[in-house]
Parts: sequence; C-alpha cells; structure tokens
Amino acid sequence: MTTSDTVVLNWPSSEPGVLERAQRGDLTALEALYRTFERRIYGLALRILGRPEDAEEVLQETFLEVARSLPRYRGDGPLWGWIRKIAANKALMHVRRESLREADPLPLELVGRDAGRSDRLDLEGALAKLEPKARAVVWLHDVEGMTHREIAELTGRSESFSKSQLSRAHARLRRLLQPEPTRHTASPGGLDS
Amino acid sequence: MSQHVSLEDLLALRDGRDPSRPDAAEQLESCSSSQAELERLVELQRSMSELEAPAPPRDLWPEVRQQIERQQRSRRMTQFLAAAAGLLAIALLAGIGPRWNRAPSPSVETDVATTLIDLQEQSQHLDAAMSSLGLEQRALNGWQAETIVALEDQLASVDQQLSSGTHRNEEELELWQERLFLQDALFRVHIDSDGVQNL
Repeated sequence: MTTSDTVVLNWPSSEPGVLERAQRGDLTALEALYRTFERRIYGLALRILGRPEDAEEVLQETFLEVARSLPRYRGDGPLWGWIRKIAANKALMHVRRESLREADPLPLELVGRDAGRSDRLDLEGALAKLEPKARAVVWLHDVEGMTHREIAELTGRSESFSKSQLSRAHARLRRLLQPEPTRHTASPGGLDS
Repeated sequence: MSQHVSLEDLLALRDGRDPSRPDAAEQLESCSSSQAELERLVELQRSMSELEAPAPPRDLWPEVRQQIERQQRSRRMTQFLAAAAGLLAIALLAGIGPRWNRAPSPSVETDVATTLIDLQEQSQHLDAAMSSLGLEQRALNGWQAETIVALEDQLASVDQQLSSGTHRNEEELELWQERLFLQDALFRVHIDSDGVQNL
C-alpha cells in the first residue's frame, strides 16, 4: 500500500474538521476533499472505461454528486468506500450508455507512465482487451475489494452474474497473459484433466 | 483420475468464500496444477493492485468548483423561494386541503417502507395535480420562469440521484421527501403567481 493509499483510506482522520466543513459546503474543504480523492476516482474510472475523456467526465460527475450528497453522509463507513460506490456507479452508467463502441484499448502511454517492466505492460494490455463490463467486475472486485453483492447492486444483476463475469474475465486474462498452452485447462465451470 | 479445481472455485478459495463444490479444498490439496493456478491468481491480484493510479491529465478542479458554486446558488435560491412561496400560499391552500400538505415525518413513521410508498403516492398525486393545471396556457413573468427553472433543476437532480438506485432506505426516504417538498413548492409557484410577483 502506498503512502497516498494510506492517506485516502484514513481520510479525514488526518485532517480533522475538514469533512464537517465540506458537508456545510465550504469550498476550501471541498477542494481538500477533491485533491485527496481525484486520482483514485480518475484511476478507477479510467481502468473501467479505458478512455481519458470518459474518465474525466466520471471524475466531474462523481465529485458533483459527492458535494451534493455529502450532507447525507453519516460516517458509518470509510469515506473512500462511499465515494468509490458513487464513482463506480457513474462509470457503469457510462458503460451502459455507450456500450463502448469497440473494446477500447487503454492508452498505455497514460496508464503505463512508470511501466518499465514488460510484465506490467502485458497486464495493462490484457486488462485493456477485456470487455468493459468484465473489466469493471475484475477491477472492482480484485483491486477495489468490492464484494459480489456490492457489484450486483451496482450493476443491477445477481451475485451469480458477478461471480461468473469474474471467472470468465480471469479465464480470458489467463489466455491473454499466457498465450502458450497451459497445464491448467479447467474452464470457468471446471474440467477433468 | 484427478480433477482440476474450477476457476470459479479457485477464485472463491482465494477470496475466502465458500466454493460451489464442498470438496474443492481437498481437491486443491491433491492437484499441483490447481495449486499453481491459485498462486497465479493471487499473484495477478497483487500485480493489479500495484498498478499505479494514473493522474488526470489536467486540473479539473476549477470547472468542478464552478459547477458546485452554481449548484449551491440554485439550492439557496430554491430553499428561499420555496419557503417564501409556502408561507404566502398557506391560506390559499387551506381551503383546498390537499394530501401533500401533511408533511410525512419519519420520526413518527416507524416503517420506512410504508412511508416510502406513501411519499411516492403523494408525489404521484402532485404530478397529476400539476398536469391538471394546464400550464402550457399560462403566461409567466421573468421572475416566475426563473423560479420554476430553479425548482425544476433541483427536481431533476433529485430524480437523477433516485434513479442511481444505490441509496439505503433512509437515504431514499430523504430524497423522496426532498422531491415532494420541491414538487409542492413548484405547484405553489404555479398557482400563486400574484404571491410570487410580490416577493
């Protein structure tokens, strides 16, 4: 976990009083909130949507809703968890709205700025080749730590759908990352060897 | 004959959930290929988590701030106008006695679901009442038009939040109350043009 992750996950304990001021609409406090979470929100949206311009829109839409709904946030869970749900919902609305023309490849020059290693680039490329809904499920579950139930609520589908999407996405990731024949040939449903 | 553990069950084991096959854990112990696959899944999850979060290519805060300020102005105006219009219309509406005059209070309603249904029904009544006003034939002055646009903007914003469907019951209740309040204010502005002009 990076230092920036720690700040995000522990916020606002590191900045007492800021949340309350932000809830009252104080713009300086809202900016502090924005600066803390902008990268996480943008990153999540870009991982799901693949296009920087779409991710920018999601960042704006998310933060506007955060500013509008913040007075209703009761602090009964981590703030990032609450914001993440809004951001994921906005990103999924984009996926539904546009059905994302083709499988839009992630712009590697943006997401791989620090990617000196080829395996990291391979992973970026493999994620980019997933279908947007599958990419969303993999990212929200495996990286953001959302449960299948939470994903089901966000997508309006069942938990089984989320599990099966995750399994299919991993099967595809395996093929993309290991193009040569693998020893483990079990399908998402399981196969005899 | 040995059997590989299915990918779905490997993911369940990785995440500490119950696999679909109760003997999946035993199977895993006797299958080196499945063990290797599980390790690969763990490693892949770690690698994904370590990918750097990309930064937005430009600073969007000035635009976001501008929109928040607009949102705040619109909300303040709406609250002021709705309160003022409400006071002016009380006497007028007393004779009509519409159901929506009775503000629902969650503190006295113990059943949130019932209250929600009640609010939704009242909202429908108001929609119907608005439709019956024949609004398209009315001439509006600039002040009225501005008020109505501000209230309708707020209503659209509440509707958007309601349609996202990610709220808990209590939050949904608050949104429906806000919707009803705005509908009520909008209705009063429409039927009380003299009062609004005199604000």
